[in-house]
Amino acid sequence: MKKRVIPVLLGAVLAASACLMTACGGASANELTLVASTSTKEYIQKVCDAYNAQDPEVPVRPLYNANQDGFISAKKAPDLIFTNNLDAENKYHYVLEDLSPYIEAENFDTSIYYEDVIDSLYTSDGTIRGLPVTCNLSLLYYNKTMFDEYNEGKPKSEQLGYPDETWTLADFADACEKLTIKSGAGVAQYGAELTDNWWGEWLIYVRSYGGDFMNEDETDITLDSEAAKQGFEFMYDLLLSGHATRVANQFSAGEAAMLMGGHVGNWLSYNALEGFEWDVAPLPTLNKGERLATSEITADVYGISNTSRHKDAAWDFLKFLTGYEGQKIINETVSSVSCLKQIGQEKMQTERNERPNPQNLEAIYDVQLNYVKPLPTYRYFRTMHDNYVAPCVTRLFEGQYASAGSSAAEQVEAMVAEACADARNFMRNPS
Amino acid sequence: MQRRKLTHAERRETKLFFLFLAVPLAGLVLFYYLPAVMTLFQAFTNASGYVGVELEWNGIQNFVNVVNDPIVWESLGRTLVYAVTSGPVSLIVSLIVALLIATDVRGAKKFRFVYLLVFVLPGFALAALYKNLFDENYGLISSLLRDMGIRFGYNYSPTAMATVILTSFFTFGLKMLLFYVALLGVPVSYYEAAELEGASKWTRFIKITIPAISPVLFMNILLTIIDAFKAFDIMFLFGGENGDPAQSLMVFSLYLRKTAITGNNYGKGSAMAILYFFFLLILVGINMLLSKKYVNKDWD
Repeated sequence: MKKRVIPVLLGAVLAASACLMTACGGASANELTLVASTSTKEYIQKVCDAYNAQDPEVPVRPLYNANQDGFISAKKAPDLIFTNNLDAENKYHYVLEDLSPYIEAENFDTSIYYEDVIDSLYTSDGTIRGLPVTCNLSLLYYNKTMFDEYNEGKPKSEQLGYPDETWTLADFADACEKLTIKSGAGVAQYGAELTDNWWGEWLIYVRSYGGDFMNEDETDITLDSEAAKQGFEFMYDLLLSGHATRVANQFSAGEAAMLMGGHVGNWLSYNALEGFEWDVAPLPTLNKGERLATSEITADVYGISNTSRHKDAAWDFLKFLTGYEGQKIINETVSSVSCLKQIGQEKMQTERNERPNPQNLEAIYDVQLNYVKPLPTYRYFRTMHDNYVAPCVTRLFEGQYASAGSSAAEQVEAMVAEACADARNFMRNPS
Repeated sequence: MQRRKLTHAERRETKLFFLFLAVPLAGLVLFYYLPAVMTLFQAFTNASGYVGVELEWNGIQNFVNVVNDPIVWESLGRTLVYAVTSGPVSLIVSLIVALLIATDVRGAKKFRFVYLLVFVLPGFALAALYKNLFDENYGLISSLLRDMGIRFGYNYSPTAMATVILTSFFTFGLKMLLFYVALLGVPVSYYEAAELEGASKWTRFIKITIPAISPVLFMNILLTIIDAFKAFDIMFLFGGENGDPAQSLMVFSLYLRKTAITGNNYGKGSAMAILYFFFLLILVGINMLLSKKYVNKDWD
C-alpha cells in the first residue's frame, strides 16, 4: 500500500498538469473558432461581431494570441486557420480544406478579388486553400517634404516631380543623386534607404532586368543569370555612388528621401510619426512604359480546417470575412491593402487630398496590384534564401567581395557564384 | 540485517517528504525530462512544422543530415571561437575584479556594487546598450574607431563576433561573486606566514590563493563552458534569428532553433540537440576529470 503512494501521487500531479495544459481553448460544439493575433485582433473582433449580429446558425468566436499550431497538433484545430499564400502551399497544406468544391458548387465569383492576389493562392497541385484578407506588395515610398524642399526656389524645369508610374530605374537613380545632401565629409540626407538583408528590395531590381529567384518550375536557382546580375549591379552601384544608405529605418527617421519595396505593415508606424508626409508610387520600370511584374505579393489568408465539424458554416463566415462586408470593416479599421476590387475602387472615390497616407491609392490599385508575382512556392525557399543567399548578398553590400581593382560587376559575379553554388548544393539534398 | 520498523511519526514524515518532492519532480518530468525524451524520439522521425503530415520513422537520416550540413560545422566553429575567447577572458577578468574588491582598500565595497550591477541588469537591456555603442554607423565607440580608420561594429559581419565577445567580458557578475566569496574564506594567517617566509605576491597567489579557491575555480570553468556553448540570448539579441549580419553570429544554438522552428524541421533540430548534448557532456566530463586531479579538497 505504502509503495503505491508515491507513484499515485506523481501520476496525479502529472495528469493534473497535462489536463491543465490541454484543456484551454480549442473548438467547442456549436461555434466556429479562429485564431487572431494582437495586430489583427481589432478588426477580427469587429468582423466577428458583425457576423454574429446576423444571428447565424453557428456563431464565430475568435481566439486571441492562441497557439494555432499547438491546437492543430492537439487535434483541436480552429475551424478557420490563419496563414499566408506561402504557408498555405507548404506548412498548412495538409490541414487546410481545398476550397475548389465550395467555389464550384456555388459558382463563387473569385474575380471579385484582384486577379494576381487570388492566383497566388492556388497551390502547385491546382487547389486553393484559403481566401485573402489583406495583402502586402512592393511600392516606391517617398518623403514628400524632401522633394518639396529640393524644389524650393528652383525654376520649374529643374524641379523634381514626385515619383509616378512613368518613372524608370534611371529616373530613380537620378532622383537619389539630386536628393542627396552632402555635409562636410559626411552626408546629411540620402536619396534612398537600401534594404539588403532580405529579398524585399533586390528582388525588384532582379525582376526589373528580367531575372528571378528561381526558374518557372522551381527546380533551380537563377540568381546567376545575366539579368539577375544586372539587377544586383544596379543596386550595388546605387550604394557605391553614395546616394543611398544601408542603414536601417533612415526613411522613417527622415534621413532618406525614398525607400524601394517597403512593407504595407509599416504604414501604421509611418502615420504615427508626426509631420511625416509620405506617399507611394508604382515601382520604377527598367524601360519607359514597359512594366513587368516586379513586385512580390504576399496575402494573409484564412482557410478552413479539414477537421472542422462545421465546414459549411466556416465557408459562410469565410465569404463574409473576405467579402465586401468583412473587407469594408477591415479597411475602415486598419490601414492596409484590400484584396477586394470593390473596396479598392471605393477607396479611390475619396478626393486624393482627403485620404490618409498613402494618398496615391491609384498607384496601388490601378497599377502595382496588376504587376505582382508571388515568391517561389518551393518548400525550402525560405531556408535556401536565409542560409545561402542572404548572407552572400549582405557580404556584397558590405564590400566583402571587393578585392584590389575589382569592379562592381566582378564583385556581383563572385557573390552570385558563391550563393548559387551553395544553394544548388543544398537543393540536391534539402533538409 | 533486518530494517528497523519506522514509527508512525517517521512514516508521516516520509510521506510528507515525498509529497513535497513530488511537485518539483513533476515539474522536472513535465518540462525537462519529458521534452528531452520527446526530442530523442523526434530525432529519429520526420517530425516537422508542416502540420498534418503523418509522423514516420526516419532512422538515422536526421543525424546524417546534421553531419552533412555545412552550416552546422560553421556554426559549431563560431561557437568554439566564442567559447575559447569570451570564456577564459571573462574568467580572468572576474578573478582579477574579485581579488581587487576583496582587498581592504577603502571604497572597495562601492566597486563591488558597481560590478554586480551588470549582473543584475537584464541581458536585453545590456544588449540594447551595447548595440548603441557598437553600431557601425552611429555607435559611440564604433564612430570613434571609424575616425581612426577602423571599421568595427556588431552590424558589420567581419567584426560582429568580436563585438559580442567584447561585450561578454563585462558580464562577469556571478563568477566574480563566487570568486569573491571563495577569497573571503582563505585564512589571512596563511598569507601572513608566507609573507614572513619571504614569498612574493605572485608566489602567494599561485601557492595559496589558487589552491584555496580551486573548487570554485573549476565550478566557474564549468559554468563558463556551459554558458559559452549555450550562448543564445546574446547572439539572438544582436543578430536576430538569422545571426545577422551574413550569419556571422549564427552559433550552434541559434542554428538549432532556426532549423527546428523557422525551418519547420523538428526532426533535424532534435538530432542537432542530441548530438550537441553529447558534445557538451564530453566537455563537462573532461572538466570533471581535470577537477578531480587539480582541485585541492584537503584545503582547510
